[in-house]
Amino acid sequence: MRSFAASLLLSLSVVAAAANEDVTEVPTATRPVDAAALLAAFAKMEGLEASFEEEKHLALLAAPLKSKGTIWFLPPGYLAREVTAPEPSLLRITPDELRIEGKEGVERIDLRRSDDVRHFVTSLVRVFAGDRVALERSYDVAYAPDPDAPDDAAAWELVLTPKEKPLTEMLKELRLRGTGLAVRRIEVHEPTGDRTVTRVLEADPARRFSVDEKERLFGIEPE
Amino acid sequence: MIHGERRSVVLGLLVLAGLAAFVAAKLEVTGDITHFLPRGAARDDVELARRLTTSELTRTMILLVGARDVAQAAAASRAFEEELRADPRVAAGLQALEGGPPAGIEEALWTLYHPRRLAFLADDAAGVAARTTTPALGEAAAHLKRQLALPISSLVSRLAPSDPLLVLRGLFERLASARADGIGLEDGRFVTLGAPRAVLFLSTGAPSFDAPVQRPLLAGVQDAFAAVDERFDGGLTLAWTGANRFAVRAEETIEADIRRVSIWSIMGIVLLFVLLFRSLRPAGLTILVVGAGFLLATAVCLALFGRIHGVTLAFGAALIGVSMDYTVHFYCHHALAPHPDGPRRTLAALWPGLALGAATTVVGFVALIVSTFPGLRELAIFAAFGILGALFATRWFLPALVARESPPTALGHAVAAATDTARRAMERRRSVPALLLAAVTMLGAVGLPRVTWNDDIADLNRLDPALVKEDADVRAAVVRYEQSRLVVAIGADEDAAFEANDRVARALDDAVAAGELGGFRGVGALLPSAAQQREVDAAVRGDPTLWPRMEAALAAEGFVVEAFRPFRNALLAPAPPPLRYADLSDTPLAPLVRPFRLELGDGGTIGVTTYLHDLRDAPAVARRLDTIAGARLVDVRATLEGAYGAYRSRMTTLLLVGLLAVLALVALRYRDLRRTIAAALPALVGALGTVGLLGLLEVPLNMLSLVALLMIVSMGVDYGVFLAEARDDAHVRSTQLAILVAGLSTVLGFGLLALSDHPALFSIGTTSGVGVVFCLLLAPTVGALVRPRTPRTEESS
Repeated sequence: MRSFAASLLLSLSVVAAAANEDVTEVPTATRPVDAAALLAAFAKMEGLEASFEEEKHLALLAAPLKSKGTIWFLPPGYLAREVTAPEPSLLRITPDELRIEGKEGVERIDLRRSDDVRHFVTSLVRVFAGDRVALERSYDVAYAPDPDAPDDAAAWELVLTPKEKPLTEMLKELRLRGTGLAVRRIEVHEPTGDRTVTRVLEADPARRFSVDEKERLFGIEPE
Repeated sequence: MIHGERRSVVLGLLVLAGLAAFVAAKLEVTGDITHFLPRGAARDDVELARRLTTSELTRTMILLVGARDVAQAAAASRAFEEELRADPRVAAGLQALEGGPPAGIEEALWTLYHPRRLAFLADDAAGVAARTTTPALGEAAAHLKRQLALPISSLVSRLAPSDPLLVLRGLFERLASARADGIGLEDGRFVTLGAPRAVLFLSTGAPSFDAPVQRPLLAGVQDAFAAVDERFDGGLTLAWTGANRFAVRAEETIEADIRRVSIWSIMGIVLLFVLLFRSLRPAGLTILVVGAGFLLATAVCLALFGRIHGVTLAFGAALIGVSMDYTVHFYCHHALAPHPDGPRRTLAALWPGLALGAATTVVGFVALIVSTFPGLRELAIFAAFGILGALFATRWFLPALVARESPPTALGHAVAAATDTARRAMERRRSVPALLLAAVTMLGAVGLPRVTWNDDIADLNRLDPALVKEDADVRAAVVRYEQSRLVVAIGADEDAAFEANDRVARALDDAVAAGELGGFRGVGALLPSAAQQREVDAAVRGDPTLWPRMEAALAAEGFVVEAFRPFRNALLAPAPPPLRYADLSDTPLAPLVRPFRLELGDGGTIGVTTYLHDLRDAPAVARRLDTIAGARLVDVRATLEGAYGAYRSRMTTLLLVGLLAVLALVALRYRDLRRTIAAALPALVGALGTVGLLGLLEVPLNMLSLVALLMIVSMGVDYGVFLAEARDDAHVRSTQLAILVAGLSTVLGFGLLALSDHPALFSIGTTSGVGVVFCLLLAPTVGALVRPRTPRTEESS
């Protein structure tokens, strides 16, 4: 279960970070002064749609698993992740449930029954919400200029390192890179050496969802 | 009191003091309800129901702590658990307390299940074959790849090298909901899936019905919650349930009713004695005599059984209360027709009647000794020795402790005269008593066929509506399985029981698929039988083609085959021993399996339970289970009801046999038809009339009614015997007054219980109240019919 939870966290974190890359109409020329400023900017987001490409480098597979698709985020804690290739699937997270719909049908995981999983998902939501205090309870948060782009004054790197078990058993670190307030790349490193790299292609950080979309994407029944 | 009598009294008091010391040193009162449950063979439904009645599930309370939000609920749960463990009243009765998954559960799962994962691939060899065909392995590899592409890939990627078929993942998912249905987790604590409420399971070591243990424990729980609530600024709520709450509340209700009735009855009896004798001495002597019987009875039971049941003490004391007749009988004679040589001679004249009355009562109780209920056997022995003790106390103490002369009051004289006048009137016009006797007999004859029996023990208890509602709310939030109907798989040993349980699980799966059942919760998924594990494991390891085909399937999906070496090595390794209950019982996983296992009897017979949800077609499910040796659908309530019904029927037979023995004893004593009839008929017709009247009034009878009837018959025979023993008018007059006083005392003592709205007390009260009144009327009535006519000259005297 711990592995499951960690994996989920990693994936969701990737998505969360991805949601902020290439943010339209967000100034990209200035690097936030610190992690607090960066997270505070995330907290202002009312909705998000972003396309992404992902590569999973797993020791079990001879070649990386590649996928691409779209994610949607609705505050305070709804997230949908649709993979369009190579095999369609739709993942949805609500405060109570993780739901995966794909070729093999629908799989539901009751997050209320899985303490660790829900804890990690909550952590993700806190990233979206810009809840620095909550994040710092579980992670050491390091913020610095992007070492791979020393010439870009707006480039930054945010590294989240889990502080204690069970997180440390499954996650080595979560590395987000961006420019200004936009996230460009997320790397998830596991203790086993497996890693997942996600690149955000396009993003709409001011996405508003209709009632139908809320129901279709997030499973929110119309009131 | 002469010197010899004083010495005798002192000696008697020393004997009583010795008995009291023995009782005080040895007294151990138990509230174990199984004492009054029928016993059966290990495999009987009755025995199963008996075991289930005291199983861990019935000893487990569910406590829901409501809070502002789920995080606060979890924090409150942790604080509540600390308070509960710190409270000595709770700690003393605590067997287990769970507010969340036990620490180390993941390590235990890994340690126990990972080495045995191959044995959990399927339910049998056929299932293994189906899951390991070449196409199935290809699909498994594709499935694994799809899982790795999902966000949950971390879990899969860690397990897959040794478990590419993902057996363990399925097992872990089943574990997530193994404790109960409506439970989730928050910060390592159980919480409900609905409103923000933490869930704690508190199991007691003592049975739920052991009020002396449960009462302080419940108080401890309340105090612990109050302390936690204060720490959380009064924002918490507690909803809780458990059989112990119902049991303690029932006992409190009964005690309150008895206390209320006792106050009225003591006041009434004291008033009666004061009005008739202007003395409280008869009351004091009654207490001494009945108390002596109570002490002897308690001492004998403690010596024989090592402890005594609370019910025995309560009902036994009531039955011994019959012996107050002896004191009253003696005292009335001492007051109205004292022997000129003193009280000892007065008693000597009455002794044959007293001894016969006691003997008939003891004979009646002896019938219960062959009961299959240990509790009723104990009750019978208690009552029999109590009566004998009271009889000898009567002989030992009363003559020495009464005043030399104890004349009745004017009212006493008037009442005695009135009863005598009534008797003479009945003797003059025998049609009146004949009509009365006929009427009561007719009442019995007409009402008897209308008698209904209620053998449902649950109906003897009046459940507090507030507790019932709270229980329903708590169970709806957490446990959705039927409390009374369940499936049990029984085997001569553990292996056999779990083998039967394997088949039960498959049958219930079919029943769910057929719509006969909504669902079920069993232990089969976590702990299949050793035989099944061996069969499945052998089928997996015994297939030499499995690895090559698996290897090909993995390669076809793009996996690095070498990474799956742990799986290949496992296939080549010898099979580990199967997982057994004992492997889990001392691990953090024990709470997940312990409630499902029952030890039946002393011969190692084991039962494995499965709990049912939404049982829509019980006969159909029962038919499926009929094909499985050792498995059956058990309806605990119906089973106990049937057992009580059978027992009641047997008890009725035994009581009838007891009545015949009483008749024989009386006939042997008198060798005279008239006196035999005078002695026995009032009790028999009185009991018949009581049953008939209750039948006509549509008051159902039960086990307690039978016990009350036994008391009625004992008293009725006493009344008849006392009258039959009366040789002259003076003694008849005294005896009539004694019967009236004794009868009124009984009505005050027991009949007033009919005013209680508690079903058990109501049952005892109505039966004894009606019965005593009938015996009170019928004893002189029958006496008037069978007694030779009194010459007119005596009438005016």
